Amino acid sequence: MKHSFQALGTTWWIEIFQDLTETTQDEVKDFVLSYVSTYEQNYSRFQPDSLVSTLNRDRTVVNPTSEFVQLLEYGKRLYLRSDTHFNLLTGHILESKGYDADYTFTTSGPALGPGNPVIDLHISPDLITLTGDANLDLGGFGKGYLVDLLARQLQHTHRIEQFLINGGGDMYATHNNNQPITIHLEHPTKPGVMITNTTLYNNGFAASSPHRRVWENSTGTHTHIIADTLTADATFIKAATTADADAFATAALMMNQHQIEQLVKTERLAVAQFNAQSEQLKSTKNFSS
Amino acid sequence: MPYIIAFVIIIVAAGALLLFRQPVEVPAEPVAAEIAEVSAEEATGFPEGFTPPTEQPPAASPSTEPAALETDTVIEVETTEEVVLEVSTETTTENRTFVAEASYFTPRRTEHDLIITLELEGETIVASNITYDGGPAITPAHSGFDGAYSAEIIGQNINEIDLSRVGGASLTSVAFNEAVADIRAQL
Repeated sequence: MKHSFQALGTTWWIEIFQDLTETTQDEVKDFVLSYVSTYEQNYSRFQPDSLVSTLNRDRTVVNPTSEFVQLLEYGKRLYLRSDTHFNLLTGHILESKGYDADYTFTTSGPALGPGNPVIDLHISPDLITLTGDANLDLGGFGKGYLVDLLARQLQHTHRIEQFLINGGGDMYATHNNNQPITIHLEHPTKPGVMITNTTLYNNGFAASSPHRRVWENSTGTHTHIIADTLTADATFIKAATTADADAFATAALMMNQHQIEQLVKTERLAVAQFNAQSEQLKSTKNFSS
Repeated sequence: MPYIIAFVIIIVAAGALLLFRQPVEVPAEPVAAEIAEVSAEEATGFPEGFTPPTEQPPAASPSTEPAALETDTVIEVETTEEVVLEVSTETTTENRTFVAEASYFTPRRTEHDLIITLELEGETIVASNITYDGGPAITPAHSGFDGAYSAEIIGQNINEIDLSRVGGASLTSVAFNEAVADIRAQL
């Protein structure tokens, strides 16, 4: 079964390698669409009534859902796990650059710096508060987090073992009849050109590149990645979860080689970085396996 | 005569050995070659970043040979073993506490000693404490600094700490920076 749909501003593919009855296939399709739609309603910065928009606007959410608490705690932890390179309090910067709910892509004034998740974001089961001027944005890991949630639902609720979930490039794959699943890595500036391939087997994958989602306006060229300098044109990460791969793919773009080495050791990642000018791909030994 | 018979036996044995020797073992195919690949047809339509190749991999040199895989280089981050990917996401990073001392003289040649304690998670400062001349902040400069410096360092990467006149205390800020440099060297 292979099913495709649009959600969270990108194309999604659900591919199931084992045989399913037509009834089960329909149930899975309906479930996935409903699940993804609910997630988008709850957590998209572009949905005015989402929990994220509510927190950004009201600076507090009383009696949040446990899922929202876990999502934010996970995002806050990413800030520490990445040695501050991944920051979920950058929504206001993206908005000021024009990456807003209306996709105006028009600069709306000077941007403040990113927030400080350690002191600005307070999370408890009963109350979430956001101090300072920064806004929350889950774009750096939210899609990967959803891929992981879907994977768990397919495995535990629908008892499906062999599948690939691809949410606009953020993937989780189990296996295809106990065989790894091969994916292709695309050149960041030459659509359709393959750099290399790798395999997934019960793990997540994500890529990040400043050459994707680029827009220009009167103040210059902008990208969704908030950083002064980047160390690669594309980063590809394999991790235990898609959310980890999603977040660390972005964070690794801002890290030097020593920092990436530390991250690989601490988080047990497989990493590949591509330099478009030299057409060179550097990868950890475990990336191609 | 026995020598001739022995010589003939040796020749016959050597010939038999050559005739019935097992063929040289064929090297095993690389594991990667055994991995079932998703066919181009199956992969068609993958969204951004994962479409199947429509061109040869980019060449790294003017050579006409596809060279992308040949020019791959490996970051030597794994020195002893391959990373197992099926691992828990629970990280075992523990907070570490560092202590450093710094001192400075005021224009009136009064010396002040600071003992700075920082708690780090990875490279991020998550807690701090300072004793000023063996106790809490008393002087106006120390009190000003003590009331303001936490907001400047908590949640920040220690490699990016560089305070300046925090709370109006320029000399205390410089001494603090020296202590942070000392701690940075301990990492």
